[in-house]
Amino acid sequence: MPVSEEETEFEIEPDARAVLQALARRKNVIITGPPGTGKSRLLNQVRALFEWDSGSTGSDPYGDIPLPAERGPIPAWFPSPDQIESRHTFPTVFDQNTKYRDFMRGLVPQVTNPGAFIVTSGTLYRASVHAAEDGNAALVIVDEINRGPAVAAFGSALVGLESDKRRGAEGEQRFEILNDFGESVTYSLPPDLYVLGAMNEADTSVEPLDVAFLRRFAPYRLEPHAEVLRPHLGLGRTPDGTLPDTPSDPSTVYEALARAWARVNHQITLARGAAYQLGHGALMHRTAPTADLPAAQEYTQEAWATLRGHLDEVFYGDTRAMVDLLLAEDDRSPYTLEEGTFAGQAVSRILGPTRPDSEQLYLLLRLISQE
Amino acid sequence: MTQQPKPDPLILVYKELTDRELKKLQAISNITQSGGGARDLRVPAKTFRSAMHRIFTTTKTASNGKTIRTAQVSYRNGNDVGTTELEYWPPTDSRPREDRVARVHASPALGGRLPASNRGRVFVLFIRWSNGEVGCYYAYENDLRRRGVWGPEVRDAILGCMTDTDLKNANRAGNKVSVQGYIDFTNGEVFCHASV
Repeated sequence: MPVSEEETEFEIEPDARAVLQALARRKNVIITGPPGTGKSRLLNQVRALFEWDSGSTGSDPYGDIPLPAERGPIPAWFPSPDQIESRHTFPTVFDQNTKYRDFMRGLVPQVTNPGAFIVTSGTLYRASVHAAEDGNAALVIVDEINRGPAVAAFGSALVGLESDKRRGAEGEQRFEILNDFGESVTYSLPPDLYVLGAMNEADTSVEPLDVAFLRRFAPYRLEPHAEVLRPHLGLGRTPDGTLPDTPSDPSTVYEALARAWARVNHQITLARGAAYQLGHGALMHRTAPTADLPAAQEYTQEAWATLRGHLDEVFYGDTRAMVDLLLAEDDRSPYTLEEGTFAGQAVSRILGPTRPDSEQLYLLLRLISQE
Repeated sequence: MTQQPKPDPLILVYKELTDRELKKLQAISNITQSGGGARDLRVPAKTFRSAMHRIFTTTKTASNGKTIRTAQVSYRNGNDVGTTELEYWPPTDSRPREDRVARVHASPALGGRLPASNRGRVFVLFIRWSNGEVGCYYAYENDLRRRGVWGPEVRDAILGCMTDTDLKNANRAGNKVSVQGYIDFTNGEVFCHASV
């Protein structure tokens, strides 16, 4: 029997809890956020929790079940908490070539039988069939949902996606699909089917999703969090004190990095919007060495390369913005601004190291963070 | 009052009670050839003895002069905890390849109750805990198949062994093997007799 929220002992992180609650209410959720804010990590957490796959073995020598599943019963606030026989997730990734037949149903040539066709069973359809069984629930996870033609991939299933359009609901919305014999039949999506998408809406290489599609999903937004990055770098939760002229230990270098990252994100938000920021995860590419200054400097250089690459992408062709971000007009910056004329027009470019050494980088980060 | 930390399992041996064995336990067997030791729980000596000897750790000379192993099995008795001795015997002349746990049916180790008959296939489990205690339990197929009831290590091991054993038996006309195996929690070894 499902248990109430108060009775659930198992610790569930707030983001995962919020997404699961949104799935329970709306059935369809899209996680959005800048790169490096933990979308993939959250998807994995939600996937494991949704399946409630009894992650560990407990111990109760005098109980009826001496080695019980540690997590216990499914919390009552979960999506389909009473469906406990088989809870599966169906992960997929959209790309530019994703078709309705890959996600729902369609006809494709049968390789072993020239001239013949077979009806495909795409990810959403298979999940739907699974969820229709008594005791089952299914979660379709679509990463990079905006990297493919999402509206076309969902196709007619879009009309039956919302919770009040599901099978058995008063407003059940049926739509046509092919059955296994290639005949058109009407179909509706079962109530224990859930769809979780993830995307970076500021990705410069994809088209935005249309509003009619998006309103069928509950949005859940992730933001860059300094309070996640700072402990990873061995720093206190909030910045403290001023940075010295030269770094004395790893924490000084990391402090400069964390502050500069926060400052740069602030400027990106002003110039392009919050969706274009760089998440904390992008600077957590490996364990940060906290005992050795040269190792910390090397780590910081790697992190800066990521941050600089992101800036180049977001402000591509906008030299003026990069001048401000790299403080190229400040004498203390390793970067300088070269201005001139070309073909009768004023032109400018930034001069400076492609990969600043650790000393140059610390001075730059310190300078950015003080702006 | 300080709460004692819960012990970890060290080794778990499981064995399915077949229909025939269930009938023997319930003492309703009319299978005449089942013999006098019908209510003993038998396991293949060669593959199970080392595991069982980690559960039955005390050596004793039985009244017939044979050297046997024993274990003090803890069980819940109302609000108290009782202990009872179970004996692990070497093979008999008539069944030279099988060790046996004697008189499980008569012991309070399993709570003094017969297994339920409406929860699918039935297994008897012997567990040695890290605090030195030994427990004896029933496990039911229906519970094992429900998520969130048994720990995943136990669930996966027994259900996996059930599948392997059924596959093996499907290709046999007679001499069916039963679902039996063990989990060594100290090194992660999972043994299923049907996989031998």
